[in-house]
Amino acid sequence: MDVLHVGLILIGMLFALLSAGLWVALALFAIGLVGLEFFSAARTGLTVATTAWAGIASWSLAPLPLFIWMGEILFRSRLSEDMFAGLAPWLRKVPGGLLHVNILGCGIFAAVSGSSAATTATIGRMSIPELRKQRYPDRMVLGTLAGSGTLGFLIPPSIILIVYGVSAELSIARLFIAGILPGILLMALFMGYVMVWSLIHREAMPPLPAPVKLVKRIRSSGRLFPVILLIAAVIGSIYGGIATPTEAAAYGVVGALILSALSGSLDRKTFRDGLIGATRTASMIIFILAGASVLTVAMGFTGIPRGLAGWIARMSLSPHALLVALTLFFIILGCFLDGISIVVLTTSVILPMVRTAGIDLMWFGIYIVLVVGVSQITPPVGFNLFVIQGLTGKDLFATARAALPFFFLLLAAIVVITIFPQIVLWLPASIRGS
Amino acid sequence: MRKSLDLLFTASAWSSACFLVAIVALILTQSLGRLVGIAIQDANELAGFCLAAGSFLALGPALRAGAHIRVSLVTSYLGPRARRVVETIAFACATVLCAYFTWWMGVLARESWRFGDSSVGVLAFPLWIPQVAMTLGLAVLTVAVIETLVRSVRGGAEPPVE
Repeated sequence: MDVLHVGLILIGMLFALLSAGLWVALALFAIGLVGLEFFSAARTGLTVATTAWAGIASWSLAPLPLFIWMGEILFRSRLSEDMFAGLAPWLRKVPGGLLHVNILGCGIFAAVSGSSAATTATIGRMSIPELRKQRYPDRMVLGTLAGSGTLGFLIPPSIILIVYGVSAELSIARLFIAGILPGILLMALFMGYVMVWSLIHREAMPPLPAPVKLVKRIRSSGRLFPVILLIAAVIGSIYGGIATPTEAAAYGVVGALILSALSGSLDRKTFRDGLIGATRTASMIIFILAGASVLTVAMGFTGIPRGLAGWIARMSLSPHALLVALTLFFIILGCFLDGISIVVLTTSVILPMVRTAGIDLMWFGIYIVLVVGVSQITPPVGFNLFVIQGLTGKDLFATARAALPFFFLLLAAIVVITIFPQIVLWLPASIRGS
Repeated sequence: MRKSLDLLFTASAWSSACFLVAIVALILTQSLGRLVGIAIQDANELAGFCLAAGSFLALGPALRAGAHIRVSLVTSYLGPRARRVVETIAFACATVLCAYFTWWMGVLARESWRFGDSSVGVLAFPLWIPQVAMTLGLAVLTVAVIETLVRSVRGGAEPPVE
């Protein structure tokens, strides 16, 4: 049997197991087992345990549960309620008005939570009823929300970037910093689109709300400032080289606890729920990583990643052609896999190929996060679409149609960072002490 | 039976929570210690062990809460009977995989204990301790998967969500 057949058989098995509804982590683990059993001379069981142990008992993973916990604490504080009241008065005169609350709110909340689905759900729960009440066009309400929800992948601290960084053995701090400018680019694209759209479709937009005095505006945003400050401190301390991502995350947890105590939303129940919720989410992700580490080792024995890399080298495919092919592949994969699973599968199998093609791995991390974002709002099945469908009760295709412009804007962002890779690479290269 | 299972999962979840708090405490102590000039030895390594132990101890409770990701898109298109059959097979596979993983993690812990494997730092912390915690976590996960399997065989569709 040659490498191609082995690869096809393993991929077929993986998809069969996944489709049957086996948990993703266990499916990765099962394929790893099969690979090890047939291609490695070592004792499979012990290799599996050692690999999982070495992959998980690692200091570099520590920011993951901590940032998740920080997000859980803030999620249970009054943050999401304050978000609307705090942002709305400032956006009165901007073309597109309160639609920008979705984008900015998702941007801020994304920085806190690091999860796309959580960001979409939290902001949507507040903003959809409010925007509908003020008669904003439904299409734009849902579209901005679906698109901006994907900011959760990009704006640091991003959980998915930690997962990528750990599996690709890159510096998490640099990856975080690399995500900042593309994140801002994406927000600018979204906001620009909303402005242009609302200037063209003036008749569809609701009349301007009554002006609010500056003092009152500042007061209603007052509760938002500490959260923004906390995020800025976390990102800033990583950028300035003052703290490692782990330290920043630990201080972030303490800061989040203090903020939620000050706002009066910290009691025994919210503390307990946040803590237990964080252990569950972290455990889910880390188990996928454990499965992926077994898969990666097994893949090394099968020779598939090397085969793919050699194949790419022989085809002398240009990096751009490879990226187009990969983008299509990931979007299809995203139709039924979540972002984290896509990332770990990628790093297990195709990273050597990417390296051979001469693509910078840090750039590739940001690229893949953007593509995963695209895949989350791809019709007919994207994760964010399901979340919004759950919030509105509208059918999936209507939601997908509303999200379509944002789908193209995300693709545009991918094209832009491909033409100008400096958008990704410049800021991390400027980190102090590098 | 139900009650003792509840107790098992609650205990597992809380021990996981303790490890999460311990990671924060370790990192903060180390970071603050550095500020005042006291080097806290091996905090990083210990945090890694807490992470391994803590995340595996939450596996079972997370499964019960429906936190683990699985693809339900394909099975949702099947009729109720076909879906039950496919899911039962998937859960049976999961049971075998989890039991296998638990067993070998246990073997690894035993070998670490027998050969006196320890961490590379000054503390020389014995590796079998976090590995036993991981084994326990996997065992709890296996119990949770079996619970799901039994429920599926009996005809209840969805795993319980707290």
